[in-house]
Amino acid sequence: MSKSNGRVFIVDDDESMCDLLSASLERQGFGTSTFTMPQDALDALNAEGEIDAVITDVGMTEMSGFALCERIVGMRPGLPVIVLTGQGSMEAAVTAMRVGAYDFLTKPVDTKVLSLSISRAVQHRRLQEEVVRLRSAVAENKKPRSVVGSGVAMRRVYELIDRVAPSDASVLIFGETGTGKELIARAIHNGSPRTDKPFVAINCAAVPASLIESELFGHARGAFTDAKSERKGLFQQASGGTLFLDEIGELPIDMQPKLLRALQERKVRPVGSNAEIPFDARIVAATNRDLEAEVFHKRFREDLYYRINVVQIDLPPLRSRGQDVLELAAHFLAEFSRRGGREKALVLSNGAAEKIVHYEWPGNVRELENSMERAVALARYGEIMVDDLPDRVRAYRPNQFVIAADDASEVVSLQELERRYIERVLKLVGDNKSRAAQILGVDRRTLYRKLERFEEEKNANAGGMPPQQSAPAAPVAGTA
Amino acid sequence: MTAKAPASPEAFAYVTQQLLRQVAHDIRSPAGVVQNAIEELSQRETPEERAAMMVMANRGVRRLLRLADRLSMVAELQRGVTFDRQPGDLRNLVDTATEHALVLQGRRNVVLDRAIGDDALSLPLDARWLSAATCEVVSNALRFARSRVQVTMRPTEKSVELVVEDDGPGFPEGFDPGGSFAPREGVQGLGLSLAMAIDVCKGHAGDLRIHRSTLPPYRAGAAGAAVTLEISR
Repeated sequence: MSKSNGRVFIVDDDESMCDLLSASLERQGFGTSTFTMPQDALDALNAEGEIDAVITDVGMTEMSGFALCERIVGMRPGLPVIVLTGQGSMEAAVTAMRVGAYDFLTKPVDTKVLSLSISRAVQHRRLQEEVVRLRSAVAENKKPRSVVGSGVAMRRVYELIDRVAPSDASVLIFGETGTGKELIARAIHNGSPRTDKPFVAINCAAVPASLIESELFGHARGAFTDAKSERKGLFQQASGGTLFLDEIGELPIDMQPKLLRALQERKVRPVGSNAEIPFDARIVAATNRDLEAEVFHKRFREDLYYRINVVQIDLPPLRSRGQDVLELAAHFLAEFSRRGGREKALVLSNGAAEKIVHYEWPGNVRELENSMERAVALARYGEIMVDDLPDRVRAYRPNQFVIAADDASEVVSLQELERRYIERVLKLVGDNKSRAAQILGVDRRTLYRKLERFEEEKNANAGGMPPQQSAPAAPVAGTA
Repeated sequence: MTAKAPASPEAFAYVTQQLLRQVAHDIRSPAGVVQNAIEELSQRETPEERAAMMVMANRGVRRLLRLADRLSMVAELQRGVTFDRQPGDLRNLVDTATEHALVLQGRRNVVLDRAIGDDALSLPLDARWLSAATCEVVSNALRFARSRVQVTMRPTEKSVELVVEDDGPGFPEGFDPGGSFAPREGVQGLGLSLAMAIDVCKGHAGDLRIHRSTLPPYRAGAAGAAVTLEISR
C-alpha cells in the first residue's frame, strides 16, 4: 500500500507510543508525523495543508487531548480527530464526543481497530472534501460558466438573463453555432426558482425524427416494437425544472403541432397511451436558424414560434463582441494551462493577439476554445506565438468592403458591393434580419429575397475559394 | 519520623477514587506500549528493529513496575512511614535516580543536564524513599519539558538543595503542591509525585518548594517549573 492511504498526526506525550503507532500505521500505508507536545501538533497543523486525521492521547502534560481535539476542530472543521485514552469510562467517551472527536478508543489500542478507524476517518474526510468540491462546482455552475466577456453586447445579455430568469416565461435563445446557447439556458435555469430541480436538455437535431416524439413525451409499454417498458418523456423528467430544446429549428414539421399542443395544454400524451399527463417544466429553446425566415419559408410554424418566443435573447457572435475575444482567449489559456499542469498561465503574444482580434471566428466561442487548447498544447514558450494558432487563423485576411479604392482593380460591381454591405450589416447585428432590414431601409421580405439570391449565386459559384480568403485586403474605408 | 495521611474521610474517599481512575490510566498506557511493541516485534525483520521493539517493551514493563512501587509507597505513606536515615552518598543516589527517570520518561528531543559534581556527598538519608522521590520529581520534569531539564545540587552548611528545573509550561497559577491531590483540569496526574516528595523531604528534616524555572522559556512569557528538595545534613 502506498502512503496515499492518508496522512496522520499522532499526538501522545509518551514517545514510545508515538513511535509504535507510527511504525504500525506506516506499515499499513499511512504517512505519519508524531508529536509529544500538543502545541507542536497545533503549530504543524497551521503550517501543513494536507492532513487527513489526527490521533491524540487524552492524558498529556501540556494540554489534555480533549482540549487539543476542541482546538483542532475549531481550527480545521472536518478534520477527524481520534481520541485514545487510558480511561475507558462513559464520562470520557461523552467528553470526547462533546469536543467533536470522530472516534474514541481505549488503550491499549488494537492497531487493526485503530487502522480501521483511521481508514474510515480518512474516507469520511475525503468524502466531505468531495461534497465541498461538488457544492462549489454546483455554485460555479450557477454562473453562466464560460460566458466570459464584459463587453457591451454580453452585458446586455446578462441583464436580460437576470430579468427573465425569475419568471416562468418561455425563452428563445438565438445565436450562431458555438456562441454558448446551452450555457445561457443553464444560467436562466440556475437563476430561476427551479434551480434545485432538473435541467433537461435535448438537441432536436440529434434525435432521429422517428424517435423524437417518444423522447419528448415518453411512451407506453408496447407502443412500438422496442417499447418493452413504459418510459417517461423529457417533459416529465424535467418536471419542476427546465426543459431545454436545443436546435428547435430542426424539429420536424410534423412534430411541431404536437409540441405546440403540449405547450398550450401543459400536458403530454405518451406514444401509445390514451392518458394525458400534466407537466410543469419551463421551456427554453435555442436555435442558430433565423426562425422568422423559417416561418417565412413555411418550414417552422408561426404559432409555435410565438409560443416559444415570449422572450428572445440574441447571443452576439464572437466577431461582434469586440475585445471580449481577448478576454475569452485569456480565460481559455488559463484553463488549459492549469489542466496541462503549467504553473503559470500562457499569455498571447502581441502578434497572436492581433490575429485573434482580426479573425472572424465563424465557429464562435467553441472555435476559439479549440484553438486555444491546441495553442497551449503546441506552445514552446511562455507566450502563445502566431505559429501556435491554427492555419485558418494565421492566414486570415479581413474581408472589408471597398468604397474608396483608388486602384481600378480593387473596385467591385454595385451588386457585389450590395452583397458585401448587407453581409457586413448582418454581421454587425448578429444576423438579426429584422434589425438588418431596419438599418438597410428595406422590409424583411426584400432582405430575405436578396439573401436567397446571394445564396443561389454562391451555390452557382461553388468550388471557388471562400470570399474571406479570396483576395488581399483592400484599403479600409468606413468599415463601420 | 512519620508522615500522616490526608485528614478527612471524604478527602480520602475522593483521593482513592481519583487515584484508582488514574491508576487504571497509568496501567493502560504502558501496557499498550508493551502490547503494541510485541505485535510489532513479529513484523520486524532486522535485529536492530527487533532490538528497538524490545527496548520499548522493556520500558513499558519498567513503567508498570514503577507504578506498582508508587502504589505500595502511597499505601505506606497512608499508613505512616518511619524514615530510616543512614549515612549515604547523595550524589550517587541522585545520579542513579536521574538515570532511572531517563529510562522511564526520557525523550529524544529533551536534554537532561546534571550539575551534581563529581565528589561523593555523604549525609544521613533513607535511600529507598529519597531515590523514589528524586526519580518522581525528575520524571515529572522530563514529561513536561519542551527541550531541557536541569538537575543541580547545591550543598550548604546545614543542608543540601536539589533543584530540578524544566522549560515546560510551568505550574498553573495558584498551584499548591501541599494540596495537590485535587485534580487539575487538562493536566494529567494527581500530584502524587510531589505529595510523596514533600513527605520524604519532611522526613529528612527538610522541605520542598516550587518556583519558576530559571531555564530559558520555550516561548515568550512562559516560565518552566522548578522544584527544590531540601534535605538536612
